[in-house]
Amino acid sequence: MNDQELRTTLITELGIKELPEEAQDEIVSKLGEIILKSVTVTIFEKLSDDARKEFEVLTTTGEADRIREFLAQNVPDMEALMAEELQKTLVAFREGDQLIGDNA
Amino acid sequence: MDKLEQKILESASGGASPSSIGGQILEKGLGGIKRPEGPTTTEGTSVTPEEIRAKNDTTIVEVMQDVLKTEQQQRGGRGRQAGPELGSAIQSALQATQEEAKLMESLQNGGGFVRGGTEAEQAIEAIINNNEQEAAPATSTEIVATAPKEQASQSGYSNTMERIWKENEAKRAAMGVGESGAGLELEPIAPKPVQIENIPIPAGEAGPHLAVPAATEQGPVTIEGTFTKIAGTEIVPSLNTIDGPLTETASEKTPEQLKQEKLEKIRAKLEHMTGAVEARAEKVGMTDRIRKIGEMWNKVPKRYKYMLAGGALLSGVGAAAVGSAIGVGAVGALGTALRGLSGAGLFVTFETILKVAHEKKTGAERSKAVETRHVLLAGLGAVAFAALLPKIMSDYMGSEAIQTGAQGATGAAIEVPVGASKIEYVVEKGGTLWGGIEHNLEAKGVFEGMQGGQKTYVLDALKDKFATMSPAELRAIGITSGNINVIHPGDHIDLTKVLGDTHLTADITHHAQALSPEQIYSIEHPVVAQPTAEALSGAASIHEAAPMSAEILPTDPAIITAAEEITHNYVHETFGTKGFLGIGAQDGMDSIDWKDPDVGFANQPVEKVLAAHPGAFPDDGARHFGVEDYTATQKMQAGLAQVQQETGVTPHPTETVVDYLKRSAITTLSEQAHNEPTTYRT
Repeated sequence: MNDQELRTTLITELGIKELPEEAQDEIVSKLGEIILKSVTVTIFEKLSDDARKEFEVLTTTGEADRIREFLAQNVPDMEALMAEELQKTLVAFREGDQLIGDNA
Repeated sequence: MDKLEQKILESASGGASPSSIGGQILEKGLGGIKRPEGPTTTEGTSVTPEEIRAKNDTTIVEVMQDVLKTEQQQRGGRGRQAGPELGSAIQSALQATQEEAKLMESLQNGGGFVRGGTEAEQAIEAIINNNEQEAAPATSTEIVATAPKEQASQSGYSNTMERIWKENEAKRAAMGVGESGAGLELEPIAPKPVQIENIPIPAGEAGPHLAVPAATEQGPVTIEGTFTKIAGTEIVPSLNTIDGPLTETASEKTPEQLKQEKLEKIRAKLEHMTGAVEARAEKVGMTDRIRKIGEMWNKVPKRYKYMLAGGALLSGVGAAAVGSAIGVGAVGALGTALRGLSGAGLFVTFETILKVAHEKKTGAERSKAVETRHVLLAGLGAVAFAALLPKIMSDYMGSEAIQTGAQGATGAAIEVPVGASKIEYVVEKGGTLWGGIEHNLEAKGVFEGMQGGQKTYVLDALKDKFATMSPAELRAIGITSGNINVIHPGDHIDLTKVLGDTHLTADITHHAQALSPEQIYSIEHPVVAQPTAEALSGAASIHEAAPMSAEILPTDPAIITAAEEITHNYVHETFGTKGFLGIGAQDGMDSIDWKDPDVGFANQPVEKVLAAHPGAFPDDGARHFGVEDYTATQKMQAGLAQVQQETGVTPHPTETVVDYLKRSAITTLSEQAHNEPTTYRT
């Protein structure tokens, strides 16, 4: 699948095919930003206060191995967590009636 | 007259036997009966609706509606097809009701007596014959009449009719409705309107799903949305109804106005979603971090934004239907690109976490589908966390102030670095200068629409610019060896001098676009051991050398064993995985990149590996290994270049990688052991 096919698929699935290209770009960009943010926030929500402080230290070093150990230890079911958040975000985009954070 | 016909008459007359019915003559049979005005209206009788209600609490219309309702429930969720079927059933039901009413009318006369006789029997027989000739759904009369005959295979429809028949008989008996059934008549009841919105709409395949039935006379059609079942997950709504609940009404708005309205609605929704996630971020004290993610995201090239959002959908964790045309391999290719976007370190971090957790949980290796999902989630996680880790962020695209709008020779928008912004490539294990340039240009979309040979031309031309620099100049930009073919992990190479020259890159891409098919072919199929091959490989060169003669083969078992161990260690470090706490570890010798008989490096000729340039984003979308995989080939090429650089041993033209590595090790060990040069190196 090349870039154009990916774009077409995404635009179709989002239901914004009839909108101008600039508007499509705007929507995809904004949705992607929300996805990134919500996935990150949901990981942080799983951290204890102590773990968040520890993460502060890790961010200054950027050592991949330590970050991996930290996340594996503190966010054991990351896959389910990320997948669920993605789904929530995308469903919220479609429906708008149960937006992410409404229950937070 | 048989028993069934008798039963019909009993039903119609409230229990009277044909023999007790007398008097009324049917005019011209059924054809002479005046058709009621409404579906359930009877005319020309002396009995009021109230009187009928008192005697018969279940009208034929109600019976039919009950039957239809039951029938519809039994069809349960057959989706859109229920529409025409239901409409047909309703029409038949109403027709049946009319026929019943006509029969009743013809059997009754003004004085409340039901007439019968030969003519009545003939009329009833005509009804039966008529009904038998009609296709399903049958009239209620026919169903009641035929039910006993079809006991063994009767449908829910028949069962319902049978049940209702019995219930009505019991009611009649309880209410004392006379054997004569005199005065029975139908109360006019309008048919219940059909609730179209209650008909389930089946989920569609990938693509536009906004199926809107035509508006009916009942008024606007409302669709609550469509639903798609993703294998192995709960049912989730698909994203094809962004409008949310739709009410199709006549609108005088222009298409442009409707589009604008839709856009404004989506904008408002996205703003609300943004506000919600920021509120959550504030609760966990990460407002600043969320802002950084937003800032970083704004710098991400457009095509990657589509990849990330599309990847979320295609991974199956989103909510969209994934068409069969979109394969696992395609998603894997997205992962490859996202890996480059976020930086390999963070990407591997997330992928390893997901992989280890999965294997620990299931006790089994990942399937391709799971691996694909992990790749995409790792891409998302890596990009998000890149914004949170200043050091990593500065190492990758986050440090590049990117502006859009410049037009490349391909005609596609190229996102180029702003003037003085530094374009840096941080070398990781297995990295090459060629790979660093390629990664940078891929991120900017420079290669979009280019064939492999054109892409190679661009990369080679840019690499040649670095090749013209002196060792001192190369060291000044971060290549610590002073040799473009020997770069080390940890080198921070400043590519700005070449890649930051937008005129140069535009000129080169323009020339690449102008290449003839023959030129492209010759680039894609280089002659090995020619200078062009050396230039294109970006790694070690191959020198013609005579095969190793038998008399100089090493015979010291200790050296051979040590050389094999060195080779093993090298391969393991390059292609093995340590896993997490040992879980998921794999010896590099067992990796598919190394040992696969077709594409594994072990038995590939060195010259083939050095000349290989698999795309980082394969057109076929499939995942590749060994000499067909971008990352693995980059590693192997860098490794071979390093071995040649450090041992000085040159590969033979047809020598396989494993043989070359062993010979290089043997050569070095032998020279160290004897403290003198050997002839093994040639």
